[in-house]
Amino acid sequence: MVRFVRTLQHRVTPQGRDFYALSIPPQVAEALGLQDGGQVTIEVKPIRKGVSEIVLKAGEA
Amino acid sequence: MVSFTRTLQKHITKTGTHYVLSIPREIAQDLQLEAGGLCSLEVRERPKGKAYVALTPYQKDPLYIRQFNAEKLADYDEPLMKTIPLEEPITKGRSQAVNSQQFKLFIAASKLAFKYIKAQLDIMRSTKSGRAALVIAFRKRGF
Repeated sequence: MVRFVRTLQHRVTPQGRDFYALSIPPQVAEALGLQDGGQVTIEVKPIRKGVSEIVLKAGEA
Repeated sequence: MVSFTRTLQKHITKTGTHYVLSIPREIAQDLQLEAGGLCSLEVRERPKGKAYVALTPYQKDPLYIRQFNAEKLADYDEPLMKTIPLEEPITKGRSQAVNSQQFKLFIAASKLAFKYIKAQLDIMRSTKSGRAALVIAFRKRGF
């Protein structure tokens, strides 16, 4: 298992909306098979009661 | 199960290629990072399938570095290298896995230790009393 630490950036748009962006390491993009970018599915999976895991997967083309 | 779809954007700059992913507000809330902050990305392999990435809030405890114990060098009972917790992880610069960062910091600390010991030995070897002290020190260390 390879682990990276990144900062989740928070910005507020001129319209007053919250915007979050995360820098993705190239190694992670490669592991997802998305070297050229593309669709990513972000899933919140419940593991057990009150605990969930956030999973990033390459989206369907 | 809640699911979102976002586009992983590829940016090519002078410093290299980097990727940015927009994160939904609900995910930031789930991570308890409404104001932004550190998070961990873990690449997990499946036996027969594509890899997936787990996004978790950053946990401080597993990060540590080995540092040269210069101030305790005269004390024979103290180790030459000490383990200290890394307060803030490195999130800027070239992308490196956490283990790789720790290893590079360890190599840097070892090089510093070697340089320091070599300089001390050169100073001691230059005088007769220094050489005598070296012999005593080596004997104490069991050489």
